[in-house]
Amino acid sequence: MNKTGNTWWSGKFLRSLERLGLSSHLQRGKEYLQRGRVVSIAINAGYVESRVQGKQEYVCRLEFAPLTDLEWQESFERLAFSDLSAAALLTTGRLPPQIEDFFAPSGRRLLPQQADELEFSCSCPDRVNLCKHLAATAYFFAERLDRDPWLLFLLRGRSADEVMEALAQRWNRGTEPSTSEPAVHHEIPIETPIPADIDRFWSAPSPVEFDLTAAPSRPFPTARRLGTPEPKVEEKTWSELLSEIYTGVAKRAEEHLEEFN
Amino acid sequence: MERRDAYRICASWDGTRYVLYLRSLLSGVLDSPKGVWNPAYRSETISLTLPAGRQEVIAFTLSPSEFAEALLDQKIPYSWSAEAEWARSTAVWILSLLANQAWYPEVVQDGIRIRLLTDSVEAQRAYGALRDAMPPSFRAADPQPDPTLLYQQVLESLADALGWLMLGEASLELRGALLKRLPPAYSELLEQFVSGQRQSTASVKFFDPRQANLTLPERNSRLAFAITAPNTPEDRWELRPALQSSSDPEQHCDALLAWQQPEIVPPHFLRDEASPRLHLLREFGRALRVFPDLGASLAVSPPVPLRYDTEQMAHFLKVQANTLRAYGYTLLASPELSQAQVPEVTLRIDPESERQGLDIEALLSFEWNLAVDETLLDVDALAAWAENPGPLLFSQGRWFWVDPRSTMKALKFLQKQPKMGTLLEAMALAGGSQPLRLELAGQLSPLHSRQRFEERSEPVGFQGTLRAYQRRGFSWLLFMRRLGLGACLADDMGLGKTVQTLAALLALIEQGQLKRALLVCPTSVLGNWLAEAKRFAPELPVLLFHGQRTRDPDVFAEQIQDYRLVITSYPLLTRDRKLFLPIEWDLVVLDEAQQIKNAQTQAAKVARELQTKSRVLLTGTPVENRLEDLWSLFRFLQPELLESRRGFISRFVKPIEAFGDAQAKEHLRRLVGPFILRRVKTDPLIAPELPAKLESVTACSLTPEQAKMYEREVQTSLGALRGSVGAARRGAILALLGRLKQLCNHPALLEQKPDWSESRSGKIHRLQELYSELPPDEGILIFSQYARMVSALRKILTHQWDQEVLAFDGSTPRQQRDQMVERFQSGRGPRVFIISLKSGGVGLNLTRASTVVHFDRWWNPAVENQATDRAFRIGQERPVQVFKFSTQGTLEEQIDRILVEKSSLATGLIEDGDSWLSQLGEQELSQFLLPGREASR
Repeated sequence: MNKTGNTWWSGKFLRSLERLGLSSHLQRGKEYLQRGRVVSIAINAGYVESRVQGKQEYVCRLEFAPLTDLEWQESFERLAFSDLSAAALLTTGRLPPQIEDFFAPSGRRLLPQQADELEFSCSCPDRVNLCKHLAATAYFFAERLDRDPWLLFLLRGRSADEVMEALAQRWNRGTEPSTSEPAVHHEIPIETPIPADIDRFWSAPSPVEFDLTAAPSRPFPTARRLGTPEPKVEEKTWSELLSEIYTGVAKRAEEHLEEFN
Repeated sequence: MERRDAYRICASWDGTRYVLYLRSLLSGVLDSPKGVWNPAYRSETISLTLPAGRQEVIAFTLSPSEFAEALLDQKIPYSWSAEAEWARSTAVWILSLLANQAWYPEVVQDGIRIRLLTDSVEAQRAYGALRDAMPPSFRAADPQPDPTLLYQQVLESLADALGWLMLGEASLELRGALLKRLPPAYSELLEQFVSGQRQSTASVKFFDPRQANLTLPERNSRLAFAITAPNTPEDRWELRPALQSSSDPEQHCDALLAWQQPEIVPPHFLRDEASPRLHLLREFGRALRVFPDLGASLAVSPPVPLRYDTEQMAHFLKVQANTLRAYGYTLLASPELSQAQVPEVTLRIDPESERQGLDIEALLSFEWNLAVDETLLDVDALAAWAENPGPLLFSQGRWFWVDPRSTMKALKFLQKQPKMGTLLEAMALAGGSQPLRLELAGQLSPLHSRQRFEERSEPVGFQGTLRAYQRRGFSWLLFMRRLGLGACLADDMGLGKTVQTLAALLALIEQGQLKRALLVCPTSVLGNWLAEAKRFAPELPVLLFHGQRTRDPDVFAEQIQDYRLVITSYPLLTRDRKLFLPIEWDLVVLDEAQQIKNAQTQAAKVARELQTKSRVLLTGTPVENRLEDLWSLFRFLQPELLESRRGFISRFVKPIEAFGDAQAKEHLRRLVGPFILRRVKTDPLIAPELPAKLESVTACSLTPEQAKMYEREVQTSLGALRGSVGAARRGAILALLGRLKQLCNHPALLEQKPDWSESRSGKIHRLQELYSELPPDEGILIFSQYARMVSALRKILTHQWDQEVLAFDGSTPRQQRDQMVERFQSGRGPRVFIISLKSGGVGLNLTRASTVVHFDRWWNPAVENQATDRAFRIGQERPVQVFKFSTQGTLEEQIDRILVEKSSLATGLIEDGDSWLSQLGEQELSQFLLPGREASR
């Protein structure tokens, strides 16, 4: 089984597709994607549509079963009030691990798991329901999903803005519309004239009164912060190589700092 | 000979390149000669905006990489101007970020850029501090009106340049096995990167901006965490998220409350588009990614603070607190909980109950403790903590976040220490490798606080009255001697170190505690000491050991039997060491103690070898600020106190000078503080006691060359004068007097092709010594009656003191003069002002100066006074100190003597000036011109 998807949610998405019968075509689908056979992809409310180059150009479509308005209302209510950390993580581009808890009580899921939640179609003559073109599309979509988990919401019928708006409405319920004074707008003068006083000109306006080399007790784990550039890059290898570079640069910088001391 | 100008390297940024040019302290911004340091730099005409307007100069243009390399170059032959120095500080800061991995590579349109990560708390502070410290001169070549933009461009370009420089120097070879496991585009990207290909057009990126946790967006406020400690060890800790202003860390509001009442978030905490809740939500989300525990706080509606038991809190401080700090989150807590404290070992000695007559041998009881910020930690609490050591310590109702390792170490150290010991043992412990604070109480408290000890009245043989602070100083010298400790009297120049020392000397003699003292001083002040001793202690038998003298140790030992005080110079101390070393002195005083600031010099070595019961150092320089000198001084003063030079450097000099370590500084102060008494003129306790104007005659000596020329001039001229009469004689005498006066200043004044080497003038040497004792910001006025001396001094001092010096004489246009006066008075400009006596008399207000030097003597004190009063007038808030330079063994000494004695001659001298002298007979004239020598005929 191939390692799929970089984030837990796109991995889960791909695994559920595999369970639904895509697995036999996974390898070919991956190759298609890597060879740039996916010509275009459009992600809309409720469905993904792509053009894939096979013997000729085929149109693939992945359709999600939308949530009803009522189901959305119930889920919004939970997202707004039962655990704020989920919404907080979403605003930073991560899908919270407990996301399904907000949909389950209504008997629904955000990530598709059952056959009746998804519909596939492809214009290729292939008789099988799930062809390699659809598999390539699924991979392509999973990559997008890595970067933007809001796409799952979109496929279920609501855009990120709509979700945030719905949450904000709920939070603001009972809060009086703010009647406080309008925010003071600070005018920052952009133009700062060069002083005509020769002695002000040639000297520092304020001394730097603390140690510029003061640093946190341990270095930043920056290689880890950067993460990987895309799913095809293996995380461990990438971060090991980056760490080598970081350590090399840090060593030289330290040596130069020594000279200043 | 034309002197080399003193230069500054100046720097600016013109939007794409760095511009370097030279500024002379004597003549302003000037064209930079091609190849002045690096021939590779391109040279072109640049238009600079300077205070006086635009100026076109030939300057060097450097790429960011070239500039970065220049900033790292420690061997550039010129000093940096303030703004270039600023760029250097910026480079140092960038290096420290690179050393901490606070950077990242980014693929942009035309290649790869190296960028900084400035989200840690420290980096944010440094970012702001550097921005505010940029001297306006850095903008000289920049066409933009906005300095902030300039700052950002400088940071960006220097970060990129330094980053590539470090990467290049590291010359990394990435492991092939690892590279192979990457898709080809990525291994290629990394290989290009480490081989320094900045222009590579990579098709792939280093990171996915949506996934990377770089917190790149600038925000006006960010999350912080407020810690509330429980009142008992059993209760729970509370950790509340707060919203903290990025620009002013002092401003924050409670984030949980703000979630419910968004209107409490100050508008300037937000960027335009975000509502308070959305902003909070994003901040929660960012924090969650590095601190998942926060989820527990948000999982209920409304959100609640995190509650930890002590063990959980300890874990938080040990692990998460560090991560949070690295990502720029602050912990808001009382000082003892906002960061890990290193408790201080304290040693308290209170000999209140000991018998009188405390001395260096007395055994004292030692009381040991651990303290955090002056608060003593409870012994039982420490014992309880030691059974289960962790970051939290509960003592007397308060929690402390301590560093477990150093706390344990301190505790173990403490348990091994003696319970009794001598004072000096205790003081030396304070200088050992374990940081330690010494608290001396009771009889010993004067060692810390100079207010509380018995003041003595002047000894019987002392002529004159001591001012109150002088009485304290002289009593302190006696107190230190009674304890058997060395004393360093470091009062500001002019406060009377000499009289305090003389009074102490007399007191010791009268108490029968001193038979013989040795005083060593620079040759130039030998005369001064002798004169002061005659004036304040006329009965004291003083031997001036100088000039014609014995070389035989036995004769010397015999000779000094008749004297109580032997005065000699540093050169003779070294040369005649075999005379001084066998003698058992009761007291050795080193005046101008910075003479032994280098422990390797012969003088310092001989001084250390002298056998003596007690030691005193006199210096006017603030010794505590010159750490390496300090070690050498104490090697003489109290050799047991400080450890080896190497240990001293690693423990104090490096941490303090390189890292500004406040704790090491405090330790050192506590260690050496008891041995140093330093009062400054501006001290509110001292100032009222000082007369508004302190005048003194400063004895200078001729250099051997000057002395020879002087003697020859007198002899030849007197010979030529013999037999001449009338107007011719008068004219010849006046000409001679003029020549001699100039000779005393500098021989170059008499030369056709003047050689202005500063070493040829005894007065310049003296001026140099005087200058080194002045506080760093004090304004100095120097008067001379010779316009050529004024302009020569300007060049010499600019160069020697490495700073801009103002000067004018009679030929300087009025407008320029006014400008100089304004710059001097503003307090920001140059602090040295040289004025020709004949031009400076009228109307000027120069109260910034609190030091006035008369480089040469005028016949008429009224003219001198008038000049002095430029500084000493309404508006002057500090005492003014006046130094009148007078060369010994010349006519200057005589003029001075006559003026001081106010003899009948003086009236004639003043009223009639030079003409009176021309009427003197040959014998009198010769005595006048060559005082202290036998008449030549």
